[in-house]
Amino acid sequence: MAKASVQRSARVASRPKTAIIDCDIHNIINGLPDLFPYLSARWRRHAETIGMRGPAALAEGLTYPRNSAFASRADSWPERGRPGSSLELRRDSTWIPSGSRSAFSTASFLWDRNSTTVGLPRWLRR
Amino acid sequence: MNDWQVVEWLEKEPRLRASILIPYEYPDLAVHEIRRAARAHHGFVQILFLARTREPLGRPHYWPIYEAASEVGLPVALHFGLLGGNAVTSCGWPSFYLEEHTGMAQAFQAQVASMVLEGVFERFPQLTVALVEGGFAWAPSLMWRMDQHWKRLGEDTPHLRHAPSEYMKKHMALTTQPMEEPANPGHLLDVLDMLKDGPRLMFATDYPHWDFDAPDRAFPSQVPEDVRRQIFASNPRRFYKLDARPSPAQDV
Repeated sequence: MAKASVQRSARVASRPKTAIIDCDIHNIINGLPDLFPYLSARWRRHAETIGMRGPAALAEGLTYPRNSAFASRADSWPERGRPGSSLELRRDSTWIPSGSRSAFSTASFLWDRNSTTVGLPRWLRR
Repeated sequence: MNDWQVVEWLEKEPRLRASILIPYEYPDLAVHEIRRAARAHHGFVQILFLARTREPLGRPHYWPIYEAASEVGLPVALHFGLLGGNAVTSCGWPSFYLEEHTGMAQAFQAQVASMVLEGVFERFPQLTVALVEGGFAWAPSLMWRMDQHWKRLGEDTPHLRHAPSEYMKKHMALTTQPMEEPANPGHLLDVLDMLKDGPRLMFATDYPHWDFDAPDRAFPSQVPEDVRRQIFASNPRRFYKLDARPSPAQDV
């Protein structure tokens, strides 16, 4: 871990000082309970008993393979939760870069399952 | 969800900006949320649609959303989307994810043609649109085709006062991920040259997804430094008016 971050720091340090604005990064909830503090009782009840029903034509959306979860960079999986759910991991990794003259726009998604990503089998995740 | 973004992301990290999520098939609710969220936090810089809407985005159904976007001074963004009521292709549902992903470029083109040809930018002259994760090499040919047809068929669209490409150049921007990767890198330079007058390109990684583009590897070495700088920073800075907006971050 320490070695990896030293190597990463060296790589970051060797880059030209170019401002970078990343116009597409994703943040995500780990599950509907993350949103409970922001929901009225009526919608919290809905989330608890019914859950999310997205406008997908096929069961479990259009992920491939079916019923698989988020396909993401191997280094973007936090110890707990899903890729895109940890601000700490993002600060610590290539993204966000440590040189702070950067701004970021996020495009975020509200689907609690499958999101808008292609899925990868569990054994490929790490 | 937007409140969650403010508390969990924008308030904790001043370098982040966020998209306002809206129920875009219910424009009256969407308008309410746009006004609410734009007032709630300066970190919201755009209003998000996914690519596969129920109707093409130029249709009057969505105009209240564009009116609200103009009112609060934010662009709308159209992002790659696997979900939606319509097939990604105009010919029906594909079998493979590869086909689905490739098909996204045609969904984006249909949306761009709809917004331009329905006269959205005549009606909402302040509106700008970011096209996110839909590719960009198709943009020149779409402009050529629309302009050519407009010369002969423009009588049918009297609400357009300019060639269709002019609206694309003035009102739209395209993000770079997934990068176009022709076998001959020179062909990418040709496309970049074709887009030098717009629509502008803006860098994107798509972090943390599997098809992430790293900023130090996304462009072939032949892409000149000044072009890189425009794509990395000055184009998005201008598109999102980052210098004019009240900024939650001191160091941007």
